[in-house]
Amino acid sequence: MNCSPLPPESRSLQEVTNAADYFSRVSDVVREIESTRDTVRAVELLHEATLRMGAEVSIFASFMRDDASCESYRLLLACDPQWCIQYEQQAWYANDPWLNYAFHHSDPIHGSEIPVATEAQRSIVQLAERFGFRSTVIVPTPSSGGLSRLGVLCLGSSTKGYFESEGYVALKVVARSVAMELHEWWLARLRDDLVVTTGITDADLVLLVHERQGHSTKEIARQLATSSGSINSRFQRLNAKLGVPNRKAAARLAAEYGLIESKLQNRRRSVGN
Amino acid sequence: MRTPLERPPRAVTAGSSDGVIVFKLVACADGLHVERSQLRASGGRVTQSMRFRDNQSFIRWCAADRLRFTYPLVYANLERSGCELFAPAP
Repeated sequence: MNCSPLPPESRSLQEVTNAADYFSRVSDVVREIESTRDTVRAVELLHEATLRMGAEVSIFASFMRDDASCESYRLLLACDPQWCIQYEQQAWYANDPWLNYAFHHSDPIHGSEIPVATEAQRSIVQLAERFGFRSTVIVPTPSSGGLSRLGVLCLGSSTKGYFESEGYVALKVVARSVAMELHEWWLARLRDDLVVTTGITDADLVLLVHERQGHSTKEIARQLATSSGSINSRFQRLNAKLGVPNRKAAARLAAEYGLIESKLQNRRRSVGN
Repeated sequence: MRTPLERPPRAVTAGSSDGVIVFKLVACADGLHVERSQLRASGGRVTQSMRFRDNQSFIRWCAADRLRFTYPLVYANLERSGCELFAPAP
């Protein structure tokens, strides 16, 4: 069965990206991603952004490691969902050459430039080809500060060599902005979920910011005008809320979910005002 | 703010009692939005969000999922709910 979608138009990438309103049309979608709250709309916007960028199909995958053994993936699909069922049944994440590229690089790249070394990797690429990813662009959105969280946008066309042509530079610019905005969107949802499910408070975040900055119990107690015993007790309650064994793990978890960044940004804003 | 004439989005959640697999279905303007969330043996979770434009592609997708053999009642409920959400609202 041919699962590839029919190309919406048989225009070259150069013709698509040369359109006078190419950048503004994609920017309109990027702005909407920023303001959307729900996943239903996010998937619709990914479909829309994909077509406006000149691709036919896409996947946005995000990854986070909660602890040494616990890895979570979130995928937004603007392609035939059958692809994901087959991919998931093989649990191919660890072998995926495009995902592996995104773990170690920050530059967008043609999928065809990523070496495919093993039989498992060849199977992954062949599966993607069956579902409309014959020509691909891989756009990583890495995180700074040694955090595990990562996003990657994979754009596809059923036309071989479609992205390996004039117009790629313009596509790269807009694809990066779409990928970054989707990554931020995903993080914001994770952050909201964590706050709701754990009941973490603003005062808890203050403690975690101190921990992340490497402050000792004594130093934190001095800055918050309280005793060391009180700080230790508060950390114990906080660790229980987050389900982690110690305060270092609590601070790392909060950092992975973007809560530390968010708190520091708020602090900078209030100082600025 | 929602006016009295607007209907809330039609949505259904289905899942296994052990929490391994959870589906959220929402009827949307151009089809059906599905979120499939699976707890992996390693402890991590894989969540896929996607849109189906027609009933047939949704049913094909359900049939291709091997977890249907582990959780037949969940998948029967999933298919029924999905097909109901594809039907026009009364």
